[in-house]
Amino acid sequence: MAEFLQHLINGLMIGGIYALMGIGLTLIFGIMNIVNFSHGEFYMLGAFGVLTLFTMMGIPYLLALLLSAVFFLLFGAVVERGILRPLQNQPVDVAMLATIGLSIFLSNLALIIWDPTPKDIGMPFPLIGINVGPITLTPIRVFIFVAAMLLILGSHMFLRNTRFGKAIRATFQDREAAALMGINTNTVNMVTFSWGTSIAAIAGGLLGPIFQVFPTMGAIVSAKSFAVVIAGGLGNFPGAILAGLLLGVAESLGAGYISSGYRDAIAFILIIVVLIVRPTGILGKARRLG
Amino acid sequence: MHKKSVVLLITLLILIALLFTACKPAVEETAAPQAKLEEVAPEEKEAEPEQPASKEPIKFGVIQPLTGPVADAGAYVVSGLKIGVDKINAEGGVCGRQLEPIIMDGKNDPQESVNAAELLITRDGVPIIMGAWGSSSTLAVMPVMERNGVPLIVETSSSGKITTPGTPGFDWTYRFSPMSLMESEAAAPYIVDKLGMTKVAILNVNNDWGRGAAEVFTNVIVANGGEIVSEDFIEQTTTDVLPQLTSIKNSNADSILITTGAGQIATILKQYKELGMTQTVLTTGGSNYPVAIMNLSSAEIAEGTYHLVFYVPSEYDLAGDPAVAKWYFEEYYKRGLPDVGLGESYRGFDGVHVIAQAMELAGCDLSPEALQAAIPLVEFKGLSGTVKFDEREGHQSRPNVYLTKIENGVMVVPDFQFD
Repeated sequence: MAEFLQHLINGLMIGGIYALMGIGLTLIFGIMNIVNFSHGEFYMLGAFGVLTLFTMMGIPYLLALLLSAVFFLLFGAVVERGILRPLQNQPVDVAMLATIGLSIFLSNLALIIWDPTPKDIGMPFPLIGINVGPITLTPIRVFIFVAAMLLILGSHMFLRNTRFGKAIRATFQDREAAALMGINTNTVNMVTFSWGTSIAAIAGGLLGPIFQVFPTMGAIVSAKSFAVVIAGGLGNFPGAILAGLLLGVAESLGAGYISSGYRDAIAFILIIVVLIVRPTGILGKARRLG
Repeated sequence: MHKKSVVLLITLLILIALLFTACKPAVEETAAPQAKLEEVAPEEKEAEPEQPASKEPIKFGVIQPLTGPVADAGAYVVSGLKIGVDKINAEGGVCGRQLEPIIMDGKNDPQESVNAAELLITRDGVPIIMGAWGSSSTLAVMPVMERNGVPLIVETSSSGKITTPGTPGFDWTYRFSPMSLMESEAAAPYIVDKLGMTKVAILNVNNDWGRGAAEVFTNVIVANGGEIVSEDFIEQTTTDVLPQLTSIKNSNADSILITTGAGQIATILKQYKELGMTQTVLTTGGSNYPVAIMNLSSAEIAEGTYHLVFYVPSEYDLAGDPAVAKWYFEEYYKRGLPDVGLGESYRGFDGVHVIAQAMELAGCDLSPEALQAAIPLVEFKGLSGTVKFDEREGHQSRPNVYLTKIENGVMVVPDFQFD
């Protein structure tokens, strides 16, 4: 039982990050109808951002995370304005190809700037296990989970309770009608993309300290984010959260009890099962956002 | 069809396409993977005998992972190789000619390594190749070598299959890195008795290297009265090992045997520490240089762990030639190369010396056939012991294997292994 609980907790913690990656991707798809293949690279750059600020420049971890988040907010806006907006009236696969190109460009850029050697960010918190009953937690894992949940909650509140969030939801429901009501849909696109980029970068900055940081680290995360988004239903915000947590737990239990060799396959088995059983995603018909 | 379904379909197709290339993600476009060595200083060139007809450098091929998850290890091997090439060239080269390695990025991916081997042989016409780091990559390259009749010097791979007669390409393959079997044999006298590894959990990388090591170490542990409690294989890109470690923690294992690269070992140790585990840790495989592991985690995290290595840089007397070992150690730091790479770099240094000696022994006949005939005669006292291909029908050398321990933040060589 203790072992089961530990697996469950481990799974929820990593699932929080999957959910965080998933909501960014699903928001961008829902609002902009863009399948963003560079999402994993934003995650990778976020980790390198924290590496540069925290490890190399000695800025406190939380501040480094914040600065990196702000930088990628701007970075996302630039990408949206410079690359995606000019393509918005093109067929959907054009923007998709542009994001694939961007992902190749970004990982090679990282290769040139930081070289391919894996790097260690270093531990921002003491690495002491805290025993809560039969399970062991570390400050960094708790921090990662809490930060992920706060960001998800924050995104939800933003969409739900602010005027701009309302504009985003309106655009999601009907782009033309929203534009007719005086909503600047270009601004909505830019904010959505910036937001998605920034939370992917934060996810990278959060997980960086417990893993290694290297230019190709985004690839597998990217694949898992897609699994989360597809399983949760394309463009479905609560679906992505649920699917993210579910994937984390499934991987953890799968690797713990079935076979670690199949761990990364679990995400894709999940997609296949969901597509067969509920092709519209776990949360099915829910088309509303937030 | 509904628009959304079309998007979903396209997304899935692209995702599948990307997954098939997942081992070599997004680095395809890297500028020319071929890197040439800098020329040696002009004054050293002048010292050579005047032989205008044969002044052209001798090219040989090298396949190492220069990008991807184990790119660091490949870079270290290359740095040792460069020191070796410069030393040989400064001393007059081989057969009066300079050596020039052509280094290709195999990404430790079997497919990419095969492409690199094909290019080196057909485009550059090299008579011999050193590579291809990982066992799976080396095993993939071997048939290419056989088909083209070009010898392969293996510097890193540990899988027993590589020098097992009957493996495709065996006749053209010569290995001086130890098989996992040799590591396990060296560890046999102390792994159970002195390290107290009686109930062992194995946590290895999921490829020929990790699986091969699991098999031979299982035999040794069982033969010495220990038992294997669990066996887990993780992908080389896996970063989260908490599920596996949680299971191990909750089992009755008293120790963990880990076979993978330094980067992944560091990640495993961090999470081992997170769970507050106390099991004895022993790492194997030779890409586990303790200083690199400390650097990628921390001295505190790696404290008390054991590591089997083939080269202990600071202990000159343990090398094949203590004078060369001392020179190498000093030269390495003179070049401002990183601490973390020293333990893995010796492979390149010893490798290029094996190639150079084979060329001399072939009487400067640089045809692949002549080199193949000469390699079994090579005897080189290098950094990892004496390279001499006298096992496995003349295709395998037996280097030194040492147990090291991280104690108070430094790498030490426990005495009990010499009893």
